[in-house]
Amino acid sequence: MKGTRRLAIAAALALLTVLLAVAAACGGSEEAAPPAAEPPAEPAPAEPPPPAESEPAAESEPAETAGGSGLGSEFDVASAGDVNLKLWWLGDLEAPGIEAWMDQMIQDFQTEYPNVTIEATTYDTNTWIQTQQTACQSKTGADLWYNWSGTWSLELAWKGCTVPNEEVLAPADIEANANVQETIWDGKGWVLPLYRFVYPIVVNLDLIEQAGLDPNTPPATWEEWTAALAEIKAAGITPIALGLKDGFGGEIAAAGQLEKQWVNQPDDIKQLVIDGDFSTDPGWNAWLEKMFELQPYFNDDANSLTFAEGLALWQNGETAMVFGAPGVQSVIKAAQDAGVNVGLMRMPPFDDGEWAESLVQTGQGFQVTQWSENKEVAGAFMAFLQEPENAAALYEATGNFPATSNWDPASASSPTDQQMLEWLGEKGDAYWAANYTPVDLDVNGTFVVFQKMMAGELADAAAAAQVYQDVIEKWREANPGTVENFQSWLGS
Amino acid sequence: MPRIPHPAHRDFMRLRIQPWLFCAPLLVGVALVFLWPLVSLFRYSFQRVGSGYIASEFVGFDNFRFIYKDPLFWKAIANNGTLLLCVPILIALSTILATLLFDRVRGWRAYRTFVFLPYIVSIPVVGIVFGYLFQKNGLVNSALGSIGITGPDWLGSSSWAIWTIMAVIVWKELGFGVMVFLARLISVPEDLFEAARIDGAGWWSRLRHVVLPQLAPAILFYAIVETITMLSWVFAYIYVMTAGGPGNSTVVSEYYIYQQTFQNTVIGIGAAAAVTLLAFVSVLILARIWLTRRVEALGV
Repeated sequence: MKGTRRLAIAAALALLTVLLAVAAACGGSEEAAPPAAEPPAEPAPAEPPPPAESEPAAESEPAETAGGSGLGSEFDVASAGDVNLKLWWLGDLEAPGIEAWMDQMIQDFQTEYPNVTIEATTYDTNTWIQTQQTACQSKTGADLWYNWSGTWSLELAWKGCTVPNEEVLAPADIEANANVQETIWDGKGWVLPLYRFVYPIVVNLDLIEQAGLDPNTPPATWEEWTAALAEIKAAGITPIALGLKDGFGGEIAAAGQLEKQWVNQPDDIKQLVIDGDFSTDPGWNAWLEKMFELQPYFNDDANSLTFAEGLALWQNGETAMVFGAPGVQSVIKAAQDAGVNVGLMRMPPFDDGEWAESLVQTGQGFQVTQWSENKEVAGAFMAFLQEPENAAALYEATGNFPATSNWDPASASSPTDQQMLEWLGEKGDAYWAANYTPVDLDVNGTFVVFQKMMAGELADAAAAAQVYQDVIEKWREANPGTVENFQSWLGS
Repeated sequence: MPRIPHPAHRDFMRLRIQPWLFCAPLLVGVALVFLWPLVSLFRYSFQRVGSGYIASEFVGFDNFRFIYKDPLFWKAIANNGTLLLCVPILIALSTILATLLFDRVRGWRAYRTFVFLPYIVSIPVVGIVFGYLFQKNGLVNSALGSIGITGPDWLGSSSWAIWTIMAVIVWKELGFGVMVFLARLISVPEDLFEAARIDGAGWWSRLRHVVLPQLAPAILFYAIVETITMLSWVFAYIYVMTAGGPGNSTVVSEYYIYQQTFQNTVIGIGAAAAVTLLAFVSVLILARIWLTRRVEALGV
């Protein structure tokens, strides 16, 4: 009896061993790959090699033709055979109205090229990063996907999951889109922006007037601005709407308005990430001090509201101002349609960085994946989206400014849009500062700092700056390869 | 001439080996579903995980060292520890409510339904509803305000948020305990209660000397299940109600794993935290098995 039990146990153990061996073998593909050099200085030449440090994979080799690259708008899509293109994106979650526009674009493209079928799948913003990471891990999924600029898209480029614009687009397509600064790395662009988000401060001028202020004279200095906020508050009106529960309100206030003020160029932020000290950096501390100065002027329930719920306070006429966020044009239009007198302003400067007075902008667009077997067609579709009539239709559908120079800014239909475009061209470009920092600095830095400030749990700017420093030290330790990637990103 | 197997050998094959062979496909399936992810988890916990194109790198115990010196990880564990306070509260409330329902108070069937209802509502729905109710200017504080009490920022203050979540968890999980205890009480021979009544035992005496001893196995089962829940099954409450905030004050170990793995994409560190959590929970499961055997051995 004992013998048979032993045998049964032995059989079970043998089965387990076999399964473990199978599991190890199946999961061992990563180890089986050639040893990884430190990306991106010498990235792993696994198959296919990461694009930036190695020759493009054979299937994605740009096909040179006379007079052009043969890519993007120059690619002969009709000759590509039957193609099923998978497009993953966030649709209306990012830009209300864009899904209807994209449906039309897909229909038009498929009509022009009956050999192509495009399947667009919409994902949720909250699961977007893991969706992309999982696809990258398994080398399957979309042919092209939506992405934000900066680290969001470059993280995937550094992991070898996407190909640069230069491998899928004609030089003319790339030249027609000047908004690629945020994703230039290794001399190449890694996202082709489709539209730009801009970040003004949106003002309910009726409430400004109600507070006894002149709605036609926005404050020009920091002192004037805080004095105006105090007067608005004294009139019983909450000056600025903020929702921090999901963290995004803090990011929008920081990256859209405050962080940029000390910045001269993107490398200032990258260098701080690589080896700077957030706790002692004067520029970083300066904006945090201003954040504390603004604290009394936010709605007192900011921590228990999501960003959207905070925005709703402004939309319901309960606050005088709100920091502009993605989709600001549609928010403005809805308010105007409801009879609100809407004005715009820029955060008055308090520091002397070259970005201080500029309106922050950031480009969103598409990347083509490394594993796609239809890179050229994906590139052609990206170029198609940027054609003049399609860019104009995008503006009509969403109110967002198309990133391509194929779109004529003079066609902007509302005074607020014209105002924003004027500001964009006036003081030079300023970008979304959080695009040059790791996600961790957002989630465990900015989200936390704003929430703690509103809860009265941070003593001052120095304590807030220390939170950032603690986060970045942990991040550097956990991500030595990415620190090197940031290093190689300097000067791009 | 063909060799005829010995009858004993035939029996052995039929009785001992054959069942395993029949079960083998299912066992393989189950092992692949459960064992493979576990093996991968352990493997990742010792790696700096790459991508489909960048090879992973073996880093020994670095990931574990990282999390053990990360104050946020310990904060997360401490929050799980705080949530463990739900367990005695749940046991006490479940015992009282189950006893009252067992006494068949007027309308007990309706009460039983009401008590159990929260348990079948999905956690995200509960989280969203209570998220609204507990806003600083939400319904709860409006109600308190109407009687002259200024309510706190239930979910927006670091000192209140974890306790508010605890209250919601207790509200949601209570129904399960009541049902488990009630089912146990119904299975107890009526003679015991009858004898206690004849002996003049009051409600409290019956609770202490009859109900509680009879409930012991159910209490033990419920305590262990809820303990495991508080350690590794509260992510949805946190994700929906506070997203770990304000200021990371409600981050629990599951949320920490989520942050590291999916937000910061340091999969190895997330895996190391998951292995640590798994170890904690495994110890509790072993404790449960040991305690159950002890209780059975004592003949309770």
